[in-house]
Amino acid sequence: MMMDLAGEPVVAMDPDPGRKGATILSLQDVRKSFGSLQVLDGLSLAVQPGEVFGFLGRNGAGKSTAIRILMGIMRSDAGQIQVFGRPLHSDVIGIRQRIGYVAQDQNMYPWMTPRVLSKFVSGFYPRWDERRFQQLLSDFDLPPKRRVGTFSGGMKAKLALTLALSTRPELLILDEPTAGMDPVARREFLDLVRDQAIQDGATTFFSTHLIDEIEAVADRIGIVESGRTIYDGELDPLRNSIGSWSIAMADYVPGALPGDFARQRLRILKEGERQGRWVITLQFSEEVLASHEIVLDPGWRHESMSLEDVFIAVVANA
Amino acid sequence: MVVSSLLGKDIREHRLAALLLTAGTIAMTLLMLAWNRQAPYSMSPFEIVRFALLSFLPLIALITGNRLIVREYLSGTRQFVEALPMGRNLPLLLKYLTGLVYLAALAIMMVALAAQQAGVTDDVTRDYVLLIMLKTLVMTTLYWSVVFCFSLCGHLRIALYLVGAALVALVAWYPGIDPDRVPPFALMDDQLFVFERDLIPWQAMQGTLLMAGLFTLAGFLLSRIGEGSVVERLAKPMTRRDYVALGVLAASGLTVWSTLLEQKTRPPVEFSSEYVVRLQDPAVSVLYLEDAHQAAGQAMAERISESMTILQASLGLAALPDVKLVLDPEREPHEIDYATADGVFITANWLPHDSYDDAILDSVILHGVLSAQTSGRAMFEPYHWVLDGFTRWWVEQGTSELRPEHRHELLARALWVLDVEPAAHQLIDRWQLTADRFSYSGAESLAWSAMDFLEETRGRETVLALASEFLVTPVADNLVGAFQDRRIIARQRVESVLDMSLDAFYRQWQDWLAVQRTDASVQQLLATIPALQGRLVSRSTAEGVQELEAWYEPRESALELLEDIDSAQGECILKHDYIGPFDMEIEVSDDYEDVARCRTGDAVHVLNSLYSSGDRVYIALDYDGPVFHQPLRLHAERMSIP
Repeated sequence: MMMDLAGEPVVAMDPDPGRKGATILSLQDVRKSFGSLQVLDGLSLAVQPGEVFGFLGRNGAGKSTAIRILMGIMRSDAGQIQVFGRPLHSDVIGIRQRIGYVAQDQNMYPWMTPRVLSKFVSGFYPRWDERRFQQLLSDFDLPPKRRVGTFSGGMKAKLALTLALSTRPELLILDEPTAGMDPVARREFLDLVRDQAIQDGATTFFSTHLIDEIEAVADRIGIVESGRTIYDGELDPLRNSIGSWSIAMADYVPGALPGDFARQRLRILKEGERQGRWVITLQFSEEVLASHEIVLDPGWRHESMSLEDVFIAVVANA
Repeated sequence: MVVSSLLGKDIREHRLAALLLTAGTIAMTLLMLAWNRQAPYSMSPFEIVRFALLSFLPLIALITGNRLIVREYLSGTRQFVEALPMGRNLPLLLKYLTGLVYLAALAIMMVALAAQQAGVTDDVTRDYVLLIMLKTLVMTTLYWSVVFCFSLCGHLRIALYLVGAALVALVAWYPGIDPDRVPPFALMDDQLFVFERDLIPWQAMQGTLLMAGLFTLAGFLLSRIGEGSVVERLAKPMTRRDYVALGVLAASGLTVWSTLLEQKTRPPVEFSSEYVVRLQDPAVSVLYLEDAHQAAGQAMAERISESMTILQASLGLAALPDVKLVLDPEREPHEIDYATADGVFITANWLPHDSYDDAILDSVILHGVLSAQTSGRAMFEPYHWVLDGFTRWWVEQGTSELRPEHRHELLARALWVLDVEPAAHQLIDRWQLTADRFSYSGAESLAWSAMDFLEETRGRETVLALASEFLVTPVADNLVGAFQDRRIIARQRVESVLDMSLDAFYRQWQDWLAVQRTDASVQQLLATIPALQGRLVSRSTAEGVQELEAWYEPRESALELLEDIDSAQGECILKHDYIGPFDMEIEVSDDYEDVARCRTGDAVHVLNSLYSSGDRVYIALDYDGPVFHQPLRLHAERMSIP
C-alpha cells in the first residue's frame, strides 16, 4: 500500500476490504486526549488473523495509550474499536480472556514465585493451560520456585510471555516487551515470540520503537506518529518507495532532482548538506526502487538506507 | 474463581502481617483487661474497647490500608492486575471489603474479650454487648473508609491524615463546638459509649455511617477519575519537596492550634461578691453570703488555710490548688457538694456543725485538694484508701490532738464494717467494693483506723511517708513517666513504706482493732447499732406493677450490738436511685428515700411502679440513729429490675 503523496500523510488502510469480516482487530479513527494533550488523533489500523503485526512508533507517539484502549483499560474519546469482530466494550472481560498481554513494565508481584503467579493468574482465564505453563517455564529456563523479585528484566519478560501464552490466546499483544533488555536477551526474546507465533498461529500485535525488532518478527507494520497512523502495510513496499541520493556540493544545482522523476508522484522527505555532498531523500507513490531501472543524472549517486533511516525519514515528515 | 484468586492473593501476601497484628491486638487487649482487673471498679472492661477504638485501632487501620492499598499502587502491581480480565472496580472493591472485614473481626474480638472479662457489676446482657458491638463496628467502618480514601491519595495521604487529625482535635477540644452533637464524637461519648444500655444512638450512627459512605464513595470516585490516571500520578513516594511542604503544614497547624489554645485559656472563676473572705498562700476563698455569717466564714477560711499550710510543709507539696467554699444555709449539715473545677469548689452548710461535722467537711476539702494536686491519680482504687484514710487522719490528728469522742465513733464504725464484711480489710484490692457497700463514711472510718493504727504502732512519720508515696507525685505527663509509675504496683509501695508484708500489716491492724473493741466508749456506741441486715425483693404483681420490697432481719454479730430492735432509737431508711454512668462510691440523694421505724417480720419499705423492667438501680438500707453523726449502711445492692 503506497502513500498518498498529494496531501498530508494519510493512513494507508486495509489493503483488502474483502477480508474485513476476518479482521481480528480494527481501530477506526480512534481519538484520545488527556486534558489539552491529544495523544491519539484519529488512529486507524487493522490486524488480520494469524499475522504478526508490528506497531511502530517513537516514544510518546501513542502506542501504549492505543494498547491500553485495546485492552479496555481505558476508553477512547471517539472512534470504533472491534476485537474478534465485536465492539470491544460489548464484552471487555470476555475479549480480554482471549487475549494474551505482555506489558511494557513487568509489574508482577515480586514476592510471588512463577508457580504462585500461575495459580493467581489461572483464576482469570478459563482456557488456562497449566501443562503449557510448566512446559514453557522449562523451555525458557525459568526457575518455578524463585521469587519474581529476584528475576532479571529478561527473565521477567519471558515469564510475562509464558503467562500470556499459557492462556491459549487468540491474540497476543506485546507492548514494548523488550524495553530495558540487553541485546542478547532481546534477541532471545524475539526468537521466542517468532517461534511461538509460528507454532500457535496466534495473531500477534507487537508494539515497539525498535526497527530491528520489527524486521525480525513482523509480517506487516503500522507506523504511528502523533497519534495518527502514517503507514499501514508490509515492510518491503515501504522500503522500496523511499530512496536517498547525493551529489557533490560543487555540482549541485538548487532544485535539481537525481533523475527524471517527473512521471512519478513523489515528495521530498529530506534534503541538505552532509559531508560536502547534497543529500536528498525522496518518497514515491509506488515501489520505484524495486520496479524501475532508475537513470540518474550525472554526478548523482544512490545512498543505501537502512530500515531505520526509512523509519526516521517517514516519521520526521509525518 | 476471579474473586477467590484475588482474595487468595491478598491473604497469601498479608497473612503474616495480619496474624501479627491480630496477635498484637489480642495481647494489648488482654494486657489492658488484666490491668483493669487489678482495679475492677476503676473502669468497665468496655472502656478498654473505647480506648482501643480511640488509640490503636486507627493505627491498625492505617497499617492495613498501607499494606492492602498503598503498597499495590506504589509498587505498580495494580497495573498488572488491571490488565487481567475482570471488572474495573472489582479489585478495589475486594480490597475495601477485605480490610473492613478484617478490622471488624478485630473489633468484634475485642468486644468479646471485654464481655468475657466483665464482672457482675457490669451486668452484661446480650443486648448490651450487641449495642456496644454495633457502635464499635460503625466506628471501625468509619476508620477504614477514611484510610481507604486517603490511601488512594498516594504521597498526599500523610498530609491528609495530619489535616484530618487537626480537624478532629479542633472539633474535640475547641470550646465553641459541642462534640457530643457531632458524629462520630457523639458515638464515642465518654459516658454513653460504655454505659448506655438501652438506647440505640441511631442519629450518631447514621451520621457516622454517612461519613463513612462519603469517604468510601470519594475513594472509588478518585480511583475512576481520569480512568485511574489521577490515582496513578499520586501513587509515588514522597519527595523532599513533599517533606518540606508537610513540615510547613505541621508547623502551621501547631501555630494555629497553640493560638486556639491560648484563646481557650480563661482566668479561673473568682467570687465577685463582697461577702467573701480571701486568704492567700494557700488561696482560700469563703463566700459567706451575709454579714451575720462573716465570723463563721472567717473562722472557716483560717482553719482551712492553716491546715493546708501545715499539710503542704509536712508533705513537701510544691503547690496547692485554690479552695473555694460557698455557704448554703439551706442545706443539711452533711449535704456537701464537691467539684474539682479551677481548684476545689465546695458548697456546704457549716453553720450548725459540731466538731465532728467540721471534721467531715474538712476531710472532704482536703480530699479534693490532694486529689486535684495528683490530677486525680489519688482516686485510683489501690491508692484511694490512703487518700480517704489520710485526709481524715490529718483533719483529726494532723494539726491538733485527736478528740476522744471522734476516735470512738470512727473506731466503732470501722469495727462494725469489718464485722459485717470481714473481707473489707483488703484495703488495696476491695476499696471500691467497700465504699460501694458501706458508703463513704464507712469506708473512710475503716481507712482512718488503719492510719491511726500506723501512727500508734509506727509513729506519725510512717503515716506521712505513706501519704507522700501515694498522694504527692502528680500524674506523669509523658509515656516513660507513666510506665515507670506503673512499674511498681500499689502492694509493693505499701510494703516498701511499712517495711513489712501487706498481709502482716492487715493482720496486725485487725489485731489492734480487736483490742480497741474492748474500749468501753466504743462498746457503748456499738451497743446502739441494731443487729440487723437488709434484704430486697423485686417482683412484678399480677397487674404488672413493678414492686420493690425491703425487709430487715436479725443478724448474728461478734460485736455486742443492739438485739432488741424495738428499742432502737433511730430510723431505718431506704435510699434508691438510678445507677449513673460512673456508678462508684454512690451517695444516694436524700430526695429518694423512705423513712420508717426499724422492724423485722414484714416488708418495711415498699416501692410501687417507681422503676420498670430493665432499670439499673442502687438501693441502700441505712440506719440513722441519734448517736452516730452519719447513718450506718445496713445493706446496699445494685439491682437490675427484672
